Amino acid sequence: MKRFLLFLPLIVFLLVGIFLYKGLSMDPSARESALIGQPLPEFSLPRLTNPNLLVTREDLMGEVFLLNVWGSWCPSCYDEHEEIVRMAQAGVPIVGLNYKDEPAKAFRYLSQLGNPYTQILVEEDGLRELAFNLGVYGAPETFLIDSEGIVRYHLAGVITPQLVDQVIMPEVQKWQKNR
Amino acid sequence: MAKKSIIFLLFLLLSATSQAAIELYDFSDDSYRLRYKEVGGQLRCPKCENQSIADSNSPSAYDMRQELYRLLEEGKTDQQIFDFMVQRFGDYVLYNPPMRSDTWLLWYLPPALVFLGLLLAFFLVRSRKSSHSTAKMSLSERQLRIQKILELEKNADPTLSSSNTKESK
Repeated sequence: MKRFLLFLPLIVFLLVGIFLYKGLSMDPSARESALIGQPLPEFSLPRLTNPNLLVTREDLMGEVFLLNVWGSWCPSCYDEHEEIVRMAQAGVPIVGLNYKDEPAKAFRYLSQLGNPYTQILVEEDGLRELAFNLGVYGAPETFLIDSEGIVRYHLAGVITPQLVDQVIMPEVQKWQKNR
Repeated sequence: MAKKSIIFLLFLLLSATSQAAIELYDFSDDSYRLRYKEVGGQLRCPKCENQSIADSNSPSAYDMRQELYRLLEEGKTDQQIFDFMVQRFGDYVLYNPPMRSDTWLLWYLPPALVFLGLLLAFFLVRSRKSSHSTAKMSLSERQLRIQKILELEKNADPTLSSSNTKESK
């Protein structure tokens, strides 16, 4: 018993060490969205290409799609754009949500990098119509919504080639099969 | 040199303007103003790791303050406001996490560790006191004690002790 007590500090040190070491490789911004398993919130937003036409939640239902929140002011959005184009070319419907942006800048962004989106919704700064209800706190963010309108996957941050191949495409295929 | 410092001072002016983000809210009830500060201080900004939405300058914190103002004016209770935010941003935005089966460790581990520490300290002190009498004596302490015992024996039975000493020689 006495012997064991001698080793107690070492054991405590090791436990704390393992705990903290694990913390080093954890990403504090990678946390699951509260919207997973929840229906996509109701909304009514104009299209970038046709501001007079309002798009609602019902208009998007029926197929599995990705909702990508972006803005021309967001540097990481430029980084991930190539991957969005690649997924669109592979046949994944991607709806864009132009977030806290200005239409002129958004058009310039798209003319420079190409437009992979099936349609683009516009939520100006101060509106809090859809992005806020989705718990968006920055850009880029990407949601996967199934054919019933339920949020199935969420990524806050840049889409990398690895993420596309190992996570996002498999998720899309999984929920396409599930319908 | 003078030119450089003037440019530097001009830059300082720039920083002053960018920091002054003052929001004006027209509360219909004075109690809302108080609760705005209180609830805003208990909600964590989702973008900035460890800042309340009341302290943060990030756009998402600004949006949350706007919603907080709207909800207060609608007459929502504090709990309803917390629930509203958690529904969108998750438990992350609460500085006081809820008590649930998957968070009990978070709540009970610190007091449990303090209790364990006190228990350990108590037993250590007690075992030290009880073992003090014999095993952990220095050489001089032992000699002193042996002498005392011998003297006691001498006083009790002088003939015995003297014969003993003779025999041992």
